[in-house]
Amino acid sequence: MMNATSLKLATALFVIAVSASAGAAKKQIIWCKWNADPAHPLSWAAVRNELQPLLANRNYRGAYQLILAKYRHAQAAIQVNSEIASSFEAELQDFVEGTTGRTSFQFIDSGPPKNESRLSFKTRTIDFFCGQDTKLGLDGVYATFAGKLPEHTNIGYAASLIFLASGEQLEDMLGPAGDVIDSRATGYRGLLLDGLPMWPWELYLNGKLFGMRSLESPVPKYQLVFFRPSAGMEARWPSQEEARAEASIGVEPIGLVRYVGSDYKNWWGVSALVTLGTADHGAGLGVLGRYNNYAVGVTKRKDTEGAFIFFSYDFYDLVNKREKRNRAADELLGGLRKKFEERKK
Amino acid sequence: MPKSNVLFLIHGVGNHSDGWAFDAIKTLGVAAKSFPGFVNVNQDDPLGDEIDFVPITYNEIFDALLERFKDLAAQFEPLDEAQLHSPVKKIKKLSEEFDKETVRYLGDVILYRGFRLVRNAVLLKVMATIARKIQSTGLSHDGTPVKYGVLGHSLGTTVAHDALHLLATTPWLQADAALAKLKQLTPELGQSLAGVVGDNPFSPRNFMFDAVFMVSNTSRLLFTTDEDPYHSTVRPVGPGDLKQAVCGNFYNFDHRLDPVSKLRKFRIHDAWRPDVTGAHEPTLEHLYEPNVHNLSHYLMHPYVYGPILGHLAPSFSRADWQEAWNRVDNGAFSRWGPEYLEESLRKKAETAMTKLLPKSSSDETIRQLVGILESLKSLEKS
Repeated sequence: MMNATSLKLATALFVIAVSASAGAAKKQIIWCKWNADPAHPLSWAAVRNELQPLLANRNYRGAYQLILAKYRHAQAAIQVNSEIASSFEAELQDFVEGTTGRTSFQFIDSGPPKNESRLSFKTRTIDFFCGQDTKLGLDGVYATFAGKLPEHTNIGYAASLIFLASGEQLEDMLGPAGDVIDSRATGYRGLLLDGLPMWPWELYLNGKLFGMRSLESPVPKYQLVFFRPSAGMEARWPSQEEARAEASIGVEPIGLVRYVGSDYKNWWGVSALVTLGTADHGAGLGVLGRYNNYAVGVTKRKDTEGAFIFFSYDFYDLVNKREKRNRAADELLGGLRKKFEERKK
Repeated sequence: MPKSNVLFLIHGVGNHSDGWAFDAIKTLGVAAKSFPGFVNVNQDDPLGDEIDFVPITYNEIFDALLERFKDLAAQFEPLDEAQLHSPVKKIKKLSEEFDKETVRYLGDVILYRGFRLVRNAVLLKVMATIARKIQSTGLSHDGTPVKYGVLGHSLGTTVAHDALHLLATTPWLQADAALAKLKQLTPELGQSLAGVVGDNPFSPRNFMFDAVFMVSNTSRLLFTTDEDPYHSTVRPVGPGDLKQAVCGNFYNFDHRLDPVSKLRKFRIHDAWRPDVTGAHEPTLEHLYEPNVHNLSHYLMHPYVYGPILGHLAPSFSRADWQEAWNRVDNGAFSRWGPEYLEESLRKKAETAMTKLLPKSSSDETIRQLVGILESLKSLEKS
């Protein structure tokens, strides 16, 4: 029967012998930036054919159980079972049962002066000293490492396998989580940059009111309007002769906006309204309704009979533009008509 | 062919267009070319096949908001000045200030720090970019795990801190839309979801960045998360810490003369227990240009580019990493740049920078930070 020393020596020789025929295998990086030995029973190359069908069928539990069984087999082959190995096996078992996370199997690299890779899980840490660097990994340092520390080698490969396999399960979750983050990002951006523009104090207050929710929650669909000034026109026409319009400033002391749709490009809202006209009519009090950037309000003044109509600047601008367009069209048509008459003559 | 590993780059205050990281990437490339592992790679783009750089911008949100404030104020322009009431006049006058550089700096910091909706938009944009990139790149190639790193500079360190903490601690999969999608997957997956993955695939038990690089760290001054940077999840993993740590290694790069990082300075030894071995804070004292706060000036130092390439560039071997480390010790990397070989020039530059260092804890305010950033700009110009 072979003793432990001769077994370790045999493992080292086996590793070196196999390395010569390993060129065709795909590169797998293990700890310390070393290339994996494809002949190791726990390397990706050695288990890929058994593991990939399980992963492709999303039978993750089956995949983890396969890795656990392979690890036990590899440990049995080297006939060394220390406290480190038992502790790691318990961690593997916990992972299969779902009571520990996959980052227990992630190598944490440290450069100089430590120069090591470390596995860190709930009960302990295992350090893999990297030693002098080798580009090939299958000769020199790696072979020495595998020969001297076959247990660490098995643990390292098993950890790499679990980390890779569980990564495939995690990838399934990245899409749904990414969709939620994306939709919240688009929503907040839309609210800020496509919605009803906010004055700084409105931005602050809306943040306090609607922005404190956890980020996975839907983006707010309401917006508070608070002491919002806007320039516009105020008109009054008790009779055709007395009709007049004047520049005015409207202030909405309080109001609410509701967004329609998910892109924050359409909204409607209602506000209280105070107007301060340029003519000496005193302050007007009333209500304002808005749809997108256009707002119309109705106000009453203490000493004046009848109602004033307030148009916000955007609305006034829209009407104004339309008037200008109509005037331009009239001029064009007039010109054409004139030319037509001249030709006729 | 997919690139090996990914580095997210998050910028500081001020205007940053899409190409803002060009100088930083170039500096890392120049450093890489000086090592044997990069002799046979494309010399014009030595890291092209090694690291997928993902520069993240967010200042366009600040810019667009400041433009919106200006537009709102502009509606009063057609009105006669004499017709305007006093508060409206003040608003109009304020909006004329928005183009000044101080206001842009101050605006960026105040909008981020003081306005929750703006902060949510910025952080979600950063998180969405990170999450989508990880999803599209995947977690392994041909049996080798893909490594992810995050580098923040100046205000970008605060944004990186806040975004990484929220990415790791928000229960994204509890959202209705996510639950509906997960139900479409296999029953086996549904059953094991709670046990193995939980409600967040980016939680520390599931996902860890290999390294986080904080360059001129402002996170203690400006953080907005419920936990401060000494107690948040943005920490390197230590014994028993697996559920709280978002990264394997945390580098705090802080130049001795950089005044920006000295306002509520982040100190590794105050932050975590000594047995948290993945925390690094190398001493940086080099002087190659007047503004030592510049990202490129930091990146040219072997103690800075060494770990970045060591963690993320596959061709940068362990021996190269050791060589980078040795270059400081053996003087191959000079502490003084060619323009500072003369002692009088060094002293002049050092005095200029020292003057900007905060003198007392009462200076540790956002206004002081903005003042420092402005002074650094004028120092660079002069």
